[in-house]
Amino acid sequence: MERNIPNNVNFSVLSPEQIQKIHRASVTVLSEFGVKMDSARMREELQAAGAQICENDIVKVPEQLINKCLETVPKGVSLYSRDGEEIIKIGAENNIYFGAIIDVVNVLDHHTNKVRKMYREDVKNFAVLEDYLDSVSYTTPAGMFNGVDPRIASQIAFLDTCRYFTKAQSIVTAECSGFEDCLHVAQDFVGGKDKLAEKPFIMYYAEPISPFMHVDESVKRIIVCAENGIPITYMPYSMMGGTAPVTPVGALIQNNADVLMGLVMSQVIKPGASFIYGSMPTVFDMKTTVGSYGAPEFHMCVAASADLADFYGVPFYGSHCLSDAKTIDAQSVAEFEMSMMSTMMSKANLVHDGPFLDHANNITLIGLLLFDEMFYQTKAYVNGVDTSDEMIDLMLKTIKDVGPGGHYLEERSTLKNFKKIWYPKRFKRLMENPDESDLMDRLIAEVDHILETHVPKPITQEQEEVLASYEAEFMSRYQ
Amino acid sequence: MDILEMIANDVVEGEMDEIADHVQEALDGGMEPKKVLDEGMLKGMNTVGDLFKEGEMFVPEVLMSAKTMDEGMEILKPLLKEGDVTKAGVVVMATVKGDLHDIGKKLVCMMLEGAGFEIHDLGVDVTPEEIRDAVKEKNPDIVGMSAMLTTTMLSMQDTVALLKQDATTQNVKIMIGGAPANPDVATEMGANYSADASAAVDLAVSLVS
Repeated sequence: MERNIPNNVNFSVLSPEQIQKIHRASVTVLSEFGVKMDSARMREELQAAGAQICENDIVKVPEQLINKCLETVPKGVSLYSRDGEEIIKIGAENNIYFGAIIDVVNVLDHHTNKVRKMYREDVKNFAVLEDYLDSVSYTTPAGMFNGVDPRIASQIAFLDTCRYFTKAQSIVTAECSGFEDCLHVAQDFVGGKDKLAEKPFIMYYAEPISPFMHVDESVKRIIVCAENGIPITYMPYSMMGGTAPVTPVGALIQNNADVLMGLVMSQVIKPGASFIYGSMPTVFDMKTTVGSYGAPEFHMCVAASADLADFYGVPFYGSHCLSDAKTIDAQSVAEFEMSMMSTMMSKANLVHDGPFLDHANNITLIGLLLFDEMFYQTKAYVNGVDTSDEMIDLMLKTIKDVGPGGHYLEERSTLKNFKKIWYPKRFKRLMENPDESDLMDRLIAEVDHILETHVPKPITQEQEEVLASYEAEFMSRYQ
Repeated sequence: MDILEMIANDVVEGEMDEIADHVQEALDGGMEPKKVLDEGMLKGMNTVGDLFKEGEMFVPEVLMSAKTMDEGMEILKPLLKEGDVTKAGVVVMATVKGDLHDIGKKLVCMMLEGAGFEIHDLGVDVTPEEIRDAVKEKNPDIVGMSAMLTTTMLSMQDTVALLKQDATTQNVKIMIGGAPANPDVATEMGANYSADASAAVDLAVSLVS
């Protein structure tokens, strides 16, 4: 089977030798130095599996146990649409799918290009636009919008995403209990725990606190997912020079060790549990103390982490369209493009986060259209060069037919192949360009048009009753 | 370069191995310890603060300058008279209950220390009651609270409410920071907001002046 987005550019950051060196170093960290393990249950499970429990809840994991868990961890993952259709299939073909986000604290208003607080009505708009775009395969309700008690905001964001977004979801909550609420909703929504485990339309997310703090809250998430058949991404976010060593290799060794720890935990709880490798080793800006979302070293290290995940044969959770700039401007678009290009070339499988501005403080509907444009643009790039024998024969024949000084406009091979070249939908290549760019105006109009006209496939009456009943219960908690 | 300039320069350049000799040299030459402190080391730290704000110095260099200052103080401290060193203020710092993120708060502690504040860092996952008790015990000018999550910001509110209930703690100044915090949230809960460690120092200075 061919990859869903053919990638013929042979891009990797790390050579096989470099991957081996980082792997060995990560194994040394886990087996000799150990990590902090807060969860008493997990310490017991790990000890029973062969790990060594030391003073101060430090756990050391022998290489043998790591290898055993690498054998049982699934080499792929499938995710389903809200309505049970397999829309994400990661396996031997190494497919790639892009996600988006539903809500954060602030939104960049698409009419004014100015930041304001995000509210529940914005959640719906993001869901509708992301449902419309074919480039988006899944999204992330995060529960950070305003106007609802933060202890139930993730749950409400999830309910609205179920209503207005038909594809898969990667849920983010501040606390595991919030996810357990969403899990119960999802199970009732599809007709039971087994049905959801058989065709999950949700996945979840956890992170250690770098460096090497596997806190109870994160470990609990791994356990809940393993026990309920829900795929989980374990993704350290570390800052080079702050919460990770300052060099790319140091950060990669640390993050890789922390992810392997997550992988071991998931397999110890349930061999065969779905696990996704995530890693965000970024730059700690020593001038501003920002954990950068636009740093080139960050995106290079994410792509390097994808090489490591590929080495282990587990799906990788990448990142796209990220910027440190607050609005849609020259900086944000340049940083979006760099992260998009890097991730499209890399071995990432599920690519999350974009389009994120102001180092994850705001999101933008206009950014989604820019992402969509860059998705098809970079997809064309990684298609690479077709050097099949048939193509070489056809090209030699064409070159011979045209001869020196001729032209190719009327050649059969031109007619047959010119549509394989990508044409932008929103960017322009006019012979005579207008004196002022009208791109932003056109993007605003397109967003408005989609929001006015696109109607996501409605859920059934029974499903709405499930959601409404949970919503009433959540809302009654903190009145 | 006279000896005071050399001491100031040691602080700016983070010359940890040099400063002790230079401070000793100044004292051996008969200079008043307070003059060595004010016109040497503190002058250097002021330059460090300015250079950091201008983007000319970076965090690890600022921290190295602070350490260098400490080296010099080791020699100077026993010789200084009461009142020679004016503490900028006392701060109790914590990452609030339910939150285990440490780096932002740690950085603010280090920068405040460099600016002459006495810091009592209570760590992470600190309950409102623990913060209140620390305020009673240490009698600080300021309580600083950090949170990374929208949900744990509620712990900040609870802490502020608890501090306001007690006559002995209700007047302490409160600073908050962290990813979900902003000036509006701070005002609503009766606290003050700063966006980063450098702004936190400015805010702390303004709160105690």
